[in-house]
Amino acid sequence: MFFYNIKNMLIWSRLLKFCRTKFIIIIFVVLLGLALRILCAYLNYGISRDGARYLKMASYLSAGYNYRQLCDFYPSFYIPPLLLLLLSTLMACGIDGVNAGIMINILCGTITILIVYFLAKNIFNDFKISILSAMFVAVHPTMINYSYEIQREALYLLFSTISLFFIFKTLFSKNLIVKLFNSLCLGISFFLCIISRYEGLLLLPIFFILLFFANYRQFQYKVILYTLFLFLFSAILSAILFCKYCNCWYFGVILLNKTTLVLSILNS
Amino acid sequence: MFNYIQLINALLFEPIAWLILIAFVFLCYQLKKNRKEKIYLLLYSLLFAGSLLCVYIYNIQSSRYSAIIIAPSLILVAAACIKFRYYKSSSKIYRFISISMIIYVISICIIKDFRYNKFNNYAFIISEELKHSNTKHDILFTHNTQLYEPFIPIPTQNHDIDSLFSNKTKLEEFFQQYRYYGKTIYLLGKTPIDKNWYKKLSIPLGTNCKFIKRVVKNNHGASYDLISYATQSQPPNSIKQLNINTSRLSSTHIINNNFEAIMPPLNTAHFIKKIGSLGHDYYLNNKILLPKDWCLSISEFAPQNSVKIGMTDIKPLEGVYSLQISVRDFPYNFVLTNFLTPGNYLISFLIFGEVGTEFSIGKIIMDPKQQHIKIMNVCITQGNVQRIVVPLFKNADEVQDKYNIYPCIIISNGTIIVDDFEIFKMSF
Repeated sequence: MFFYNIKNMLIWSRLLKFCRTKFIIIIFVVLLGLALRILCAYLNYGISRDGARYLKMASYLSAGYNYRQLCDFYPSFYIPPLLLLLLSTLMACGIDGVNAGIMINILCGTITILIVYFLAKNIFNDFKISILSAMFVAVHPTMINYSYEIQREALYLLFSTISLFFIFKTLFSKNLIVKLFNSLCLGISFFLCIISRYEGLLLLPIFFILLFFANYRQFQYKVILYTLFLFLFSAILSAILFCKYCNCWYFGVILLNKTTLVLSILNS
Repeated sequence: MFNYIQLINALLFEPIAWLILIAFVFLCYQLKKNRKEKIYLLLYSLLFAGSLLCVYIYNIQSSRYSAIIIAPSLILVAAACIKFRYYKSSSKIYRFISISMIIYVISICIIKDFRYNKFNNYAFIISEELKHSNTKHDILFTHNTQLYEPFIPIPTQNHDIDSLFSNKTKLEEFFQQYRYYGKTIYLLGKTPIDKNWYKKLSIPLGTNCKFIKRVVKNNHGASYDLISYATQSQPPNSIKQLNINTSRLSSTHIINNNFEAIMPPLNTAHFIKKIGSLGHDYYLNNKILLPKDWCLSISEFAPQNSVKIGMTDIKPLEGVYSLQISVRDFPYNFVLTNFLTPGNYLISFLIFGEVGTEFSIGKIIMDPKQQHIKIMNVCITQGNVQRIVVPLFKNADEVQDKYNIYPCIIISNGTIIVDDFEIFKMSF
């Protein structure tokens, strides 16, 4: 009994040690990504034409204009409002616009590393693959570029990766409650993805196709219907809440227009 | 399609894009029963197709529309590298290749991260130069106004300055056009091949042009030049102030040059129809007073009800009547008089306008086949009565006698009152 306990303790301590090592490696990769992003932002301190335009738009928002008025100022330039709202909030807090934009993007770029780790872990269930994926994302030049420029891509990549993570969680959860909870989360992250960039709409048909393929062997109508219902419900609810509290109803009109435009192009 | 794939290739970073393709093929080749992996490969294929579709739909030369593909691609490479290592566990060569690939990807990415543009902050440097400009009296002309708008206090205006800087004649014409603009104009454009271009310029009398700064834009040495052009706030009150020998000027006789004779109202409709080839029959049904013996014409594309033209007896500039032109939100060309023979002319007239109303003096050159407009001077009204004296110089394209020259006023927004219109022909 005594030897059994000793052996058991040794196993637990090894496991704990291994977990700690894993945790330290993950933290190291994330910190490496953060350091690279900050360093590149410092070395490349500048702004693009689009970035300057976003700053100007955000300054209008922080001055008290609403999204509809903003669209009137820039009639050919309807961009999704998430970045503008975040920028205007930070600017209203007294942070310089350029620094606010860089801060948001560096933060999003760093969180993306962590999300990619969890996504790869969820798919391959292998620590090495997951940490290597995170490492690649941490050092990839395009990802770093998007993380220090004042652009919408950092937000878009963060929420699209979160959406991909929840797509896999929704498709492969065995517990029905967990599955439905994940589809709720997917709806929210999908909506956040769309208000970062319109291309986030791409995930909608992809999710439907994957939902069909993942369940084609044991086709459970009810489960699929519940999943779809909760996904759409949470996406629409978060859209309504967002439009209500951020005064962005006009965004809904633009989104409908954009969707109709894309559908008409595809149809033609 | 090749263009779109090239865009995605650049987005994924070229040195590792080929590795992604190999990783995808390898993972498809050694697919096992793991459903998640199968679904992931399907998801990746759909995302790739969707990304191509995004670029295709928007038809824009930007890879940002496909940014969603990056993270899944990198997961694919990581998975392939690790799986390749254990592909045949006994063989060390697979292990070596796998580790080499990982080191290659990480090192090449880090090298690329530090190949940055040292001069990326050029927009801030330029903005810093313009930060202390006078909001009311200065303006920036550049090809990319949106970049500077949030950082400078002065208004900006889009203008193709790059081509002006590289063409001395065009730039001097620009100086001539804007000499009475009344503001200091900052011009920002790409440095032309001749680095000392600004030393060889000839500028109109009474104006001043100053080179401010050259700012390097990128590691390849491309740069921007910033110059300031101080225009005259008031045009000269008399021809003598133009420093031109008046003995060489001969007055061209214009009938009804002070707009005192009014066309009989019954003839107005007939008159406007008569000039229909040049203009438009806008006032056919309006009770409007027009100056006798004058040709007044407006662009045929002008929308109705956005322009008012006619004689006014409320606050005339001279005598009983003056000519009034009011325009809202559309640029109009008003041909003010009958044609002149080709040559060099001075046009002089009295003008009063709303503060800030911007108008140009130009000439319409008409040959038998077509007409084209040449803007000669841009002026801005100050809210008081001014005498504008502007030269209309002869161009190489109007030397042929068959061409008719019509002096014209171009105004896009605002109100002006004109009187005492004179034209002098210069004999040099």
